[in-house]
Amino acid sequence: MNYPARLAAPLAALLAMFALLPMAVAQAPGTRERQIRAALVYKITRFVTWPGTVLPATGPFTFCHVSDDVTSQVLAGIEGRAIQDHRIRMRRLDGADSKAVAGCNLVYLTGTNALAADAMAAAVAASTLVVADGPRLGDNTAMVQLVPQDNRVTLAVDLALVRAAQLRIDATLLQMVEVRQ
Amino acid sequence: MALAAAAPAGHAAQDFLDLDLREVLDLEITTASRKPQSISQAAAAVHVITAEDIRRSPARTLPDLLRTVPGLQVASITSSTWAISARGLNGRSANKLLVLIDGRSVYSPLFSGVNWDAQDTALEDIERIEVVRGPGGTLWGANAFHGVINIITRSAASSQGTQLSLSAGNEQKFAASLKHGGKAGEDANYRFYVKGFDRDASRLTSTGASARDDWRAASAGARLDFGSGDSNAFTIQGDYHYGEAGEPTIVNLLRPPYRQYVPTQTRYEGANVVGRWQRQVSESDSLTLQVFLDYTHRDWAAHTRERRLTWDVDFQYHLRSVPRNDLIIGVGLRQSDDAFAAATRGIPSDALQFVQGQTGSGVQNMVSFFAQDDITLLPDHLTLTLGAKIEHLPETGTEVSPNVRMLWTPSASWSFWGAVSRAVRTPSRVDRRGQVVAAVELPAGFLLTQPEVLRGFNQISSPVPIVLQQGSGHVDAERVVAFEAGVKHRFSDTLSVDVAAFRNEYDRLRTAQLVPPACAPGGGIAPACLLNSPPGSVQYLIENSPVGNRTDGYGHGVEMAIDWTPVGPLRLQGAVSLFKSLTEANYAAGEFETDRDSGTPRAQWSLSAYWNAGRKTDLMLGLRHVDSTSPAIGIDVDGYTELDARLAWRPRANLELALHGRNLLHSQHQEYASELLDVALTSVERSVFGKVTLKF
Repeated sequence: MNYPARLAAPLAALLAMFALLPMAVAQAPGTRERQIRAALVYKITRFVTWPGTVLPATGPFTFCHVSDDVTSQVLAGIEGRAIQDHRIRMRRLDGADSKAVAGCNLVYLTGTNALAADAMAAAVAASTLVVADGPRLGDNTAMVQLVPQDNRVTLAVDLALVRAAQLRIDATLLQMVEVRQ
Repeated sequence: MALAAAAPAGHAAQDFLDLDLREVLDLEITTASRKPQSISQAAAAVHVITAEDIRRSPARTLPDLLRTVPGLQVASITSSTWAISARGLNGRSANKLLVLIDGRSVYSPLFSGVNWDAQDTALEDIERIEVVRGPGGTLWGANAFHGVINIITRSAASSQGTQLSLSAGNEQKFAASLKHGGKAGEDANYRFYVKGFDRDASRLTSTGASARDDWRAASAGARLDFGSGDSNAFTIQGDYHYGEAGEPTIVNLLRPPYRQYVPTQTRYEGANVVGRWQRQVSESDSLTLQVFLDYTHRDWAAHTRERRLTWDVDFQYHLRSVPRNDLIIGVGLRQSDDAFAAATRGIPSDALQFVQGQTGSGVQNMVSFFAQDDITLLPDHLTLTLGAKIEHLPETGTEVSPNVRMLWTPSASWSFWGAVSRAVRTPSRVDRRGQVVAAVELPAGFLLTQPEVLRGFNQISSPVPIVLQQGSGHVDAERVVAFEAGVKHRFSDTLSVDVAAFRNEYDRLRTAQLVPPACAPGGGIAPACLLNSPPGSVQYLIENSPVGNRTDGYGHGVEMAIDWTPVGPLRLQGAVSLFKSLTEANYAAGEFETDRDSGTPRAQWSLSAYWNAGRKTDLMLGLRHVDSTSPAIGIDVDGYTELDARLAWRPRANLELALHGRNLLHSQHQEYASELLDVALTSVERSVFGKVTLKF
């Protein structure tokens, strides 16, 4: 068997393939990541129990978010689904002040969007789950933080804040995430 | 069915929403490599071993990792060889399972099986192992007869940083691995690894002495991922490995002592390079082009010396722009060149080679085309899958492997599926052009010199030795039609159950036929040729059983897997497999099947418990049971129950100290025997080793 001759054809194919490298133009990086983040926010709601007073048995689940157009489009895919048998009502917020978050069962803050201290206090008082996916801005800024790690998205839970909001998080979820006491 | 590596790029937000939380947490941000799919939505019997499962497992080889997969049979023959099959017909030369590593087929065209010792990728770099039981013929092609094992390694982006592992113990004498990943520009990531190990020999079952099958190997590999975002992704990766493994070989001779126990050394090495381009053509459509080159060299003492170069090109297009359809089409080309010689190192120069008739070089070509469409009949509830693969091999012609699958998901927690599929096992190089020496039967009056080691061979009354070999016939593709059904139910977020049942109807399985032996030299049919020849002129008789495809039969069974998290820190995983098969040749015509249906246990089960005793400590206990088997003529192996354990402590975030134990219940136990009767029976010993892992 003449290996050099045999190798020529496949090597040429490999080279031709990588000659195509300049075509590797990155387009809209992060759409996939946005989809994964949105799915995570949706998935964790299965492990959270809201007080009956803020989420009555027959009412809808109000899913609020502060996000850009691309993420809004991604989140639109969740609308119509259910969270614990509550139909999801999606609401995009213009800002994140205490007035805006009123009536939300969940607020999802993307990028550098953050709640002011009074808005967070209002969210805690109204048992609103606050989820953020941007850089961590300090203590008491999110109950659940999405954290990029090793090319994946992981979760960190601020248990004190969650308890203050009278929300209950299932132990199964806590086993899969980082817990900040 | 379209699991990870089967399907190229292409996804929508909806796909992620249907995964469970663990699966979403496991998704890579920057890969465009696959269509995510929840196991519960696959219309097939699928089991996934995740990176986390591997990290928590005391297993340090791929075969040991596969032991707890429902429906898979894994048994050790020597320290570096295993019999591994799905749903039966197992053996050292098991040839009905396809194994892929990052889309590269690693089955050997020599015997259509897998050299498991050479599949030594760094376990820490494995992203997931998908085991699909049942014919996977449509997407993957020939040899996915009983199933597919699909090993997918991590992308370079998810292997950042440096990790050093060192371990030492009684059986795993020493092992070390170093891996490092980094960024090579804004849109490029790389990783590489080097690893090596030295493993102790097992014991001869007969005498308890060392089986002299100690095993040393080293490997290195690298991967580079280019491009980012959703539109284009390029990967180039490659590995090199070298290993030496002892084998307690029983060689055949045409002179006294006729059968002799000779510890030998098998040397093997290989290298491969894979290039992959994935392009997201539009929001819904994507393509994948993959090219690989694979070189292997194996000096398998007393068997054969083989050099092989395979190159393969695969193209897939994934089209989802047609409403209600999810279509994958693909075309593949493969060429495999080989060169053979006798493997005589370390054995008497006149010993018979087990693999005969393999000299010189040859070329095998294959062209394949496939199409598979998931058709949504009722959105979110009912999906019909239709697919077919057409393969053309110049030697065997064209084979078609179609399948029909139906998935019904009445609710998010229930799925029911059923499938009918056909698959083929294409003849190996040995099947087409070669013979296998089964044994030399001793002449009358001659006694075995080491009967305890050489058990399993009968003595007959012939004045000269008889060489038993199989070959010199015509083997065509073996065929199976599989009927499968399953149900998957998620009782809650913490408890899920997966049950699958199957019946395989075999057609045209390989057979050999008993024929009267012939005199050598001189020819003629015994005993007439013996009687008519001058005394002493006939040196031996040769019984060359012609091979063919004259066995039919069936195999059926039930497999169940349970995953339960009863309380937060405790996770239990259980698996039960019940199996029966019967293959029947036409015994009246002197025919016998070459696959042993008795080599597969009727029942096996496993139960693993993972306990997270706080953030810094993990404990794993795994109990497994395998029923008795009869893997070779005259050799019965008792059933066994064994316990594996792992205790890990992380005093710092970047440091883990772990104590691993394997086969803890017995000081040694036998698991299997080679159906070729080419190695002495060995027993696996209890193994304990410590491991230190440091990340920096």
